[in-house]
Amino acid sequence: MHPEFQNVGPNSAKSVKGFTVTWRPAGGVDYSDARGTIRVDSELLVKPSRILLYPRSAGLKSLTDDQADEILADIIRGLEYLGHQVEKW
Amino acid sequence: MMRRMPVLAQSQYPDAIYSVPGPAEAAAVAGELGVGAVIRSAVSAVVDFFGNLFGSSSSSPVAASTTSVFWSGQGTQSAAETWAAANGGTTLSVAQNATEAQVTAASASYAANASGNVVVFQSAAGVPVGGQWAQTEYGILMSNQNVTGITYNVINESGATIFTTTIPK
Repeated sequence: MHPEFQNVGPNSAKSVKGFTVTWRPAGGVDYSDARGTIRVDSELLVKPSRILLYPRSAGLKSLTDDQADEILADIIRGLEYLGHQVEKW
Repeated sequence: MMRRMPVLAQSQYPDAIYSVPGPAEAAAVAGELGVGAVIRSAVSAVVDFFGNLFGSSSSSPVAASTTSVFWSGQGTQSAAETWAAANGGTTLSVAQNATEAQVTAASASYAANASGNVVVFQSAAGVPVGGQWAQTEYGILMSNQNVTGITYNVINESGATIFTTTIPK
């Protein structure tokens, strides 16, 4: 159960905590909150199908490690709510 | 007589993975040795061999007439899309509501419909072996009779292309 999230559009989930996670099927995941939107690099793996996140994405580099870790954790929960398996590299 | 070692072509990138001798360097080596056309021919053959094996190294990705552009690895999507926009290429386009299965199918179709020389951007940090490039696209491109070669662009952590080589099929 993920009572934290609700669907708000295609491949997009909004958290009660105020952020939205959107998986871009062509590549990348957008994390949006009141401060703006950050693009985290990702690509789709196969056999089994899952999303690979890149924690060293350019969009996260300006953040502190704690901020980046929190956003990545939020993204992973959001993607899992949307039904994806997630890995990090 | 002091014999100088042949000088290989120097990449413009200090952290390039490797470089190959170019024709000018090969001719200079042959002339320097003063052993005539036989040696020059032999050197040329070696250069041709390595040229066919590795393609040519250059400071920027090579544009082609119709270019399907692929990517795999951190930061490569942005590099691929930027290059495609500037050079009339295309990257895989998928609807926002696509499922994972549809993305995989679209990826396979994109590779199957590619032609000519295609371009791929890969990260110097590595390429996931379970990714679409490794598991889907590469195999289809190699089987695709209309694809003549692949230009590999290796990008660094900053997203800059640090090495380019074209490998004909």
